[in-house]
This record gives sequence, C-alpha cells and structure tokens, in this order.
Amino acid sequence: MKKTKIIKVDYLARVEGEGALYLKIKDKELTDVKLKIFEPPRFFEAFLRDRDYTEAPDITARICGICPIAYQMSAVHAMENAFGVQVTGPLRELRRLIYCGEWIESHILHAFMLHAPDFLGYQDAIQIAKDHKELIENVLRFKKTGNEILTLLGGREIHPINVKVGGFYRVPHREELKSLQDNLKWARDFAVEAVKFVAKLPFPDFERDYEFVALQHPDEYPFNEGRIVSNKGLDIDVSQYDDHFEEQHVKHSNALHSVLKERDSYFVGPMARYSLNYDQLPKVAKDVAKEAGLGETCSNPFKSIIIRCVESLFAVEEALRIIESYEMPDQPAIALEPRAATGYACTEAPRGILYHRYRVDEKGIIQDAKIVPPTSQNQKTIENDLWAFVPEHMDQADDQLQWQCEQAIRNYDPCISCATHFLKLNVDRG
Amino acid sequence: MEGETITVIGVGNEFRGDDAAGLLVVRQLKEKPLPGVKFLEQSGEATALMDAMDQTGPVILVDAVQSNAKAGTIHRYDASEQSMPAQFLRCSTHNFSVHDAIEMARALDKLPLRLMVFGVEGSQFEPGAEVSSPVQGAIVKAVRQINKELQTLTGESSDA
Repeated sequence: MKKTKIIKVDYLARVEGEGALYLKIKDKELTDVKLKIFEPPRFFEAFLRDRDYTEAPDITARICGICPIAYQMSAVHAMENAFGVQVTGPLRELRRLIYCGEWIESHILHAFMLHAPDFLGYQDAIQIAKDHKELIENVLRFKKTGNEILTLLGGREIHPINVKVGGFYRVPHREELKSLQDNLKWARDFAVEAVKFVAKLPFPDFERDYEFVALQHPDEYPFNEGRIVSNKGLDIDVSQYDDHFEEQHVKHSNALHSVLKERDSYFVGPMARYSLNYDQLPKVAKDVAKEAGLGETCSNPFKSIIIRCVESLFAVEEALRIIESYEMPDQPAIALEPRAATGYACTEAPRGILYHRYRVDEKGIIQDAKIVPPTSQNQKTIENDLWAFVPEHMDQADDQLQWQCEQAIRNYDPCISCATHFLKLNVDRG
Repeated sequence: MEGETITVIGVGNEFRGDDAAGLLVVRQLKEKPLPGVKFLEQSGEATALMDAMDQTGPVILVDAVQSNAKAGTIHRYDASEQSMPAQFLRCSTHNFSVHDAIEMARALDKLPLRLMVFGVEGSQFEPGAEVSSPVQGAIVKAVRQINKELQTLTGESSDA
C-alpha cells in the first residue's frame, strides 16, 4: 500500500507578506513542491502609467516597507539613464550611504528577528529576547543605526521622501552626517560580534550548484551601478536585462517566476553578491568572514545568515568611509531635461537585484513600466532547493521537516509583498 | 512639578484604507489639546515604535486591527496587564509588527508602566483604498473613548 503524505503550511510566518508552502510526498518520494504566493497582486506597474517621471521614486517606494530605498534607487537611476545624465561626486556617495542604512536595517532584522529563531529552536525573536536580552538589545540598537541614516538622508525612517531624480531634495551638512559616527563606530564592533554569533549556529549540510546573479562594479561592492554578471558566464549591461531574463506565470502563485532564458532558475541576494564580489569587500569584512568559516564563495543557502551579517559590517564600514570624506555639494540635485526614451536600472536591494525599466515621452510622462523584484527572481530557486532538500531529510518527523523547509525558504528573506504586483494584467485589460 | 506626561501614539499608513485609523484618531484628538498630553504619529516600524513607547508616563496606542471581528469594532487592551493576543495588531506590512514591538518591549523590560491599546477593526487595507464607513464611525467613537480615558488619567496624574 502506497502512503501519501502532504505537508502544508497555510500561512508562512516570519516572511514579508502572505505565502504558503505545499509539499506532496508519495511513498517516500517527493512528488510536488509549491511555494504559493497569494498576497493580492498590486498593479504598481499600471499605477505608474501616465504619471510624471518625478513621481516614480515615491510611488515605487510604497511597494515595500522594508526596502523602499531599493525602489527609489532603481527608479531614479532608470530615469537618469533615460535622460542621459549621471549623478556623480558627493550625491553619488550619499546614495550609497542611504543604501547602507537600508542594508543595515533589513539585514539585521532578518538575521536576528526572523531567521535566527529557526536555528536556535525558538518560535520567534521575542522568545530569544527572554533568554538573550543583551543580544537582542544590541540588535535593536544596531538596527536603529540604520534607521538614523535613513531618517537623516530620507527624511524619515520608513517610506523616505527626500530622494529625487537627479539627487535629493535636501542634502545634509557635514556636521549632520558626523553626528552618525559614534553610533556607527559602536555598530562596527557589534557587527563583528554578530558575525561570530551566527557563525556558531548549526547549519544543515546542504549545497547546490547555483547560478549566482548580481551586479559587479570594478571599484566597489555594488549598490547602484555595475554590470549584471553570473558565475556561469553572464556579463551584460543592465539595458540587456530583458534579452536574457523572462518572467513566467505559474498557476499556483500570484508572483511571476523569473528565469534566465539561456538556462533556468538563478539565485540573487547576499550569497550571490558575496560570491561574485568578494574581492571588493573591505579587509575587516574579509577577515571576519574567514574567521566565520566562509570561503570566497558560498553555496550553502542556510549560511546566508552569516553573509547578511558580513554585509552589515561592510555597510557600516562603507557608511563611515563616506561620512569621513563627505563634502556638502553646492546643489542637492543635478539639473535634467526630460526626453522621450527608455531607461534601465538595476540596484542591489538587500534581497538581491531589483530591475526597473521605464519608457517616458518627451515631457517625462511614464508610458510603460516594468519592475522585477528579487523575490520573484528567487522563487523558482527556493522551490528547487526544496526539491533537493526534502528527499535528503525524508526520514524526519513531519514537524521537524516542516520547520526545516520553512527555514530553507527564509534563507532567501523572501519579500512576498514586493513580488506580487503583477498577475494577469494583460488579461484584466481584456 | 506637573504630573507625568501622557503619550498618545497613533500607528498606521494613511495610504492603505482602514490602516489609517490610528493616525486619524490621533489627528482628531490633537485638535483639542490637553495639558500634559503629547501626540505622536508612527508608521509601525518596530524599533521607532519601541522608542516612542519608552516613556515614564502612561501610553495610549491606537492602531487598526484585523481580527475577524465586525469592521468598526473597537478593542481595548490593557497591555501592561496582559500579553497581546498573538494575531492582534499584525496587519502592518512589516514582519516585526506592532504586536511584536509591544511584546519585545515587555521581554526587554521596556514597556511603560501603563500601556493601553485601542484597536479599530478594519476591513479594507489595499493600497490607495478609502477608509471604510464602519471605520469612519469607529474613529469618532474611539476619539470619544480616548478623550474620556485622558480626562481620567490627567485627573489621576494631577492628584498624584
């Protein structure tokens, strides 16, 4: 008699947005894996049509409460690409700085509040706080360091309002930025401790041969600029994105699955970024990574929690570097003239590359918009991880298997709210 | 020396329909300022909210709620006395919700001595949605209830 076992998680906790997991095991053989994303689609690409180009950063920032800077950065760079201008000097540095703030906030929140409970056997971070009060107090203080950067440069710590195409509405004085230094110096020390703490967590022995995709820049660890590269030979300008990637609709999900046309699923996010850009990390981050047992690349997605902490350390170092050398620019933004064109940008959201494409008319009115968030790019890879992981752990009790599958999904810090803004838009228009 | 300041915190997102309830309640309360009462608006970002709640005086927090009750229902919890129900105040787009901020503050001994939470049951939270009519009515009621609470509290604190 064949036995069928179904593991269902109707509501995935500790992920952004609403998703579910469905596994079917028939006579000890895994026969179905579905990461279901059922948060309602949000149609942001349609909202953007007929809006002025200046509105894109503020409208798209509303897609996500955790990574609004990523949306603003991809939007402003895409518009500047369309208008043929490039933001340089201190304004460029300030954009890197505000991204540091977002990485600090997002990475530490995910690593300790959402992912660490999986490794430590707690239901949530509140339970961790009861046993490790000082650790969680430091985590919250660290996160606040990121909030402070966002508040100063973005106007407020969530849904910032100070970013514009061409630069900022207001730029800080040198003294204002200097006021962040003391907390950042404390944060640098804590980030080292954070890496050491997560490095001691128990990691399942699990590796796959991923195609890592990330931005790569000749001089820096990437935030806003670079070519899109992979460890399997992809090396393209951002404007070629649509030639190489496509989104596929799958029945069970409100989010599209993104794949590489030449091959298939791919991996974006901290582990891809680290593995493709290790050389650009500052020495202190490389040293701490080495001490944590990481090589120059990593293929165990469970260890992404370590890489998030290494990247947090990088973000603090980078923020301190930028603040130290900052000179207030004469103008908060460069002048630009709209023109009819298509603009492309890809920036590194905490969860991986975020692609924006806009076609605007001669007055800068948006005719068409395309946004591909990192979670929809990772969705197929997450399912493939489960296809590989579950058969190796089939003998575990259902609750343990379910726990580890949820943990495997959280390796990607999935932001389901971001991923569900499309779905059958063409059909609806009839 | 005056009595302790009372802090009223409205939490919400004004672009997501009924999620604006907490902010709208606080804005209406602000129209009739009371001595010794300060009003704050918060997005629900947990660390900022924990800071806002870190007060020596009493704190009243108002937020929208999705708990399967009838839209417009007003819930009142004395969070200093009891833990918040697990699914309460989780309609934020953040993982680390208002509920988590309150319970995390409790775990870290950072909860104010008095924390009252008013939850306005909402029904529509889509981006760009209007505030539903049951919630519009509930906002008026919540303002009245909180005003009454504030009068009692200011009376108590001025006696202290």
